[in-house]
Amino acid sequence: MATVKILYFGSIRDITGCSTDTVTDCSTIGEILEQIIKRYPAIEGIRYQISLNRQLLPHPAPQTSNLKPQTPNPKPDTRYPIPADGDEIALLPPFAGG
Amino acid sequence: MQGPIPAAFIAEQIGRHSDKLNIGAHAFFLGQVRSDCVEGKTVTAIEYSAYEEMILPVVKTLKEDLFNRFSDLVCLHIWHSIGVVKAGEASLLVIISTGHRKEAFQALEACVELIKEKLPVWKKELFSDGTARWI
Repeated sequence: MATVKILYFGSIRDITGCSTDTVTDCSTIGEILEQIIKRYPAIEGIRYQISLNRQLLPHPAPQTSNLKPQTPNPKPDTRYPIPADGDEIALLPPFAGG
Repeated sequence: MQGPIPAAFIAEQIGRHSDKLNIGAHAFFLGQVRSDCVEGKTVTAIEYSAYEEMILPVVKTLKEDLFNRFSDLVCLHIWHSIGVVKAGEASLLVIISTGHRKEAFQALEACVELIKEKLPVWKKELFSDGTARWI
């Protein structure tokens, strides 16, 4: 069971009201997501990708817009790495640089 | 960088290339905040935020990709604003330097597209009536 640091960005930060969080007693990325969504159910309405230690985790399709959700958010995936103590996981809404 | 990219900064960056004598062409992209009208409300500024710790590794990968694709590429530089940038001010500067003009144009377009796709940056439009929306 690991304790991981969670980072929120963009529109997700408006929902959580904070930029960082902690999830404890988790053994998979899926469990971490479940805990986060239980705390902030409105996150389910936002498209996002997940990064682990600043590396994007694979996702079936790129997200292109907050406004027109086209593909579902990542679901627990058995190919995802097992989280370790101190890992940094971020929920990343569609990028909008430039 | 924090806030808008000043015109003097852009000129200074151009000047820094004068000692690289294998460069024959520079291509620039300068993104400027546009005052869109959305449902009757006017955009007065954009507030940018970023996952700053993730930007460096993303840019490193982006540069490796472009240097592999464009053999004539000599150097490339990217600056992106963080924080509030008012309409009419610059928020993204990309400078591509190559031996010849053809690859300068091609690499510039490829670079800007990669920035749009890969850079963990978010923007919020700020309206004249005090409201805002994420885009």
